[in-house]
Amino acid sequence: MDKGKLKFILLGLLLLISLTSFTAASSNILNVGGPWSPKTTDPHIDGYSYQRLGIIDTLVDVDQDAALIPGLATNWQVSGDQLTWTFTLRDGVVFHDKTPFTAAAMKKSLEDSLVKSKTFANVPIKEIKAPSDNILEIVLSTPFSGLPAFMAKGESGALSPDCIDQGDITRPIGTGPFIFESFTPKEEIRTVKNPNYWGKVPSVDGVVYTSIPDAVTRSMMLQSGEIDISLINPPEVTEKFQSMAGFTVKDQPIHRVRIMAYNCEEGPFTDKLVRQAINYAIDRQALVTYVMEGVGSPAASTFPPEFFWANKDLQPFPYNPDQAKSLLTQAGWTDSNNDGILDKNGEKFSITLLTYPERAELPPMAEVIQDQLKKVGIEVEIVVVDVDSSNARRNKGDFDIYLLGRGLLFTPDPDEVMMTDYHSSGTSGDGWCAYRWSNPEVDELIEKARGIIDPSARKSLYDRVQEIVVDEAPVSYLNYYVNQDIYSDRVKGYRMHPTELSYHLEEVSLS
Amino acid sequence: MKRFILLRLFQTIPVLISITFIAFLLMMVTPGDPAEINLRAMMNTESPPKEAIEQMRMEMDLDKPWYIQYYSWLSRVLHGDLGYSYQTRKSTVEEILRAFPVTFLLSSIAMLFSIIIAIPIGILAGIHPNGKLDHLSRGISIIGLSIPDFFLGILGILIFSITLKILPVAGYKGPEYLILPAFALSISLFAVTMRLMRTSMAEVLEQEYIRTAISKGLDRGTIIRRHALKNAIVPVLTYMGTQYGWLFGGAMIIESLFALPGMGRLFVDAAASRDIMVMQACIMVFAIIFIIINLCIDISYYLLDPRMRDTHE
Repeated sequence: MDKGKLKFILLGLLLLISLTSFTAASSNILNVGGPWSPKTTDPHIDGYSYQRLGIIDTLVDVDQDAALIPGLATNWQVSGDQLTWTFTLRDGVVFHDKTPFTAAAMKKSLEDSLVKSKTFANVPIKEIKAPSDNILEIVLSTPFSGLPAFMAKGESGALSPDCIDQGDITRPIGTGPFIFESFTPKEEIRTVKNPNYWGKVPSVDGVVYTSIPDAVTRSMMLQSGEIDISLINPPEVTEKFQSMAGFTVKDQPIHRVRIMAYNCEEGPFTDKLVRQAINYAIDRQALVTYVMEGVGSPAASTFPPEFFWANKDLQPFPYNPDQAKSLLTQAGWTDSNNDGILDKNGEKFSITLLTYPERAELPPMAEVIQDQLKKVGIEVEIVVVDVDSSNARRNKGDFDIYLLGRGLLFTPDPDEVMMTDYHSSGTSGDGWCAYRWSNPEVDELIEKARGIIDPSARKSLYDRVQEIVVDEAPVSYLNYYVNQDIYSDRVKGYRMHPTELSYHLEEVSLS
Repeated sequence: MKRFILLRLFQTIPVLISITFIAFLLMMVTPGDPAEINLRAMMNTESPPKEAIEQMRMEMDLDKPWYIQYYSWLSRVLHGDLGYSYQTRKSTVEEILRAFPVTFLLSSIAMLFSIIIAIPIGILAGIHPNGKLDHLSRGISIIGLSIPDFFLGILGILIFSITLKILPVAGYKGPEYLILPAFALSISLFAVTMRLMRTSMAEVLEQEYIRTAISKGLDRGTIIRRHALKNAIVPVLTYMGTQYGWLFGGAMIIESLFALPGMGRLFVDAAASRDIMVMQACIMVFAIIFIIINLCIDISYYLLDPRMRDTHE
């Protein structure tokens, strides 16, 4: 190849580059970038994305306090025997294909959900009936107060009868504020606004959701103007945007808490005093400040205080190493040989802290905890293995402390997490949270709450459960997760949802 | 020529068998029932009926000893039946067909970058060893080798997308979306190719037959084109060929950074969610790419180097 040819090729390349000048965010289309990509176009298999983007609606909606509010159903009640739930459907709602939304259509849609999704595997639904156009009845085999919460899951979203008839759904036709336009796997979903929406009609003409797994890439797309909103960003990315003109960083506590669960079957943590001592030995604010770079807040109980179900009287434990030491002395742990590590009956206080690296902040957090516990005379060995192996070890009891991040409201109802995490039926088997710990009062309260429909009456029972758990300390609550989204100044009216069930893009306008 | 290719093809058979066996083993040791995964997709339901799963297990010979399972699996694979993805409930072939062109284009463009830039510079540097261009190219190579590809990718985005605004940051909505990732991906290949071409060229120019050609009075251009280049390029081709395979399989980080829906991301996602049959298919595609490339290298040797022809005919 001679120099002339080379020049020619290089010139051609430059020309190609300059010709393909891309178009940045155009007029009234909202561009959103997030880490996730839906797995399929069938919301009844995987409904999150379609629900969040407002393509489908559910019977029940969830408000900013994570409490249930009317969605496609204007109200719901349960029969005296608690086996039949009756939903009154909203009038005048039409699907995107103009067919009316009726009880018969919803019945067909829900029956499809039950077959396709694993979400409803443990929901005791026996039969679905549509006695009139706007009345839907769900008949259960056993009483279940969590049913309305399951009717808020994306997988229960209303899809038009024609859409269900597709079988393998490639074009979801819902009732939401946005109409599905196209989907490319691992790339994007496009929607256009639904001018006939029953609720607030979107201000933007449409939305393009692009799936970008890497947070740094998303932040750069935000800077170049290719996206307007970047969802879920780590502190090292948001830090830079906090002071940058033209962008806003928004925080939203979500339904996830970092906890330490103790082995209550074997080892030093069978002693309640020792578990309580640890609560004082942990500097929770330091964990947030140094590991989470200030994002998040110390935890008092399982639910963040912004949530309806949280016991708001509970406060995070203060950092008090002296109190911790005196509790440990009370429990019989003293440093008799002056080696800096406590001992009891000739045995050193040396324990294993188990965690996993899939949640990147956990291993560094384990190191800070190791250091903090050393100050009260406890020697900690950290074991980091992948999440499945760590859980297998936990289930065999091969640990003293299990450090983990726990999701709380995958379904916006506390029953699920209460049953698996604190009820003896959950803590005695495989799981994640309290290990081989039980309390008869807690069991009774949780069981009683299952049959109570009135939310505030139910909440008072759960408040008591939270109080007992904090006092008995089968687990220590460390801090709550906070999602951070960044958006450009073009975006007005954006708000984040505590259960991440919706992006509420119908409320967003572009300037 | 035909005989040579046939012989080479014949030699790949044991390699292919061992690869398929490894891919098959993956399915044996990973939890998850392929019959159930396939049925979930085929019937489009979360929990297919027990009897149907049993029936399917029998059809797939999953109740037989491992060697029969292997044989049965292999014959399905040869008929293009690679099962279904657990994640998407789509056929694995469909997943691969969607991801393959992206990575193929990406690594080919990266390759092209190296060829059209690195080889000419390498040749010129080799013709004038220790000249200005040689020093410059050495500097570029050292930088290229020491900068990781993803870092260069980020740097490229900062310059071309955020500051100059002439290229998009990430995503895959057209061919322009491949320029930056391909450039980032090509850099280490580019660096080594350039140095290798330079060294090889300089070495060949020292050979006696070149001196003979010079003394015969041939002009420099002809000597370089007809005698030197043909010999000097052989080791470069070998290197580039094997690297193409690596580019293909090694694009995972770049594909994640630039949000490209290629094979690397498909494989990483499949591994993360233990999507067995997609992982199997990816492994086989990667392996077959390597085999094909090696075959091509051998054939190009054969065409470029007469000595090879002598030993085989």
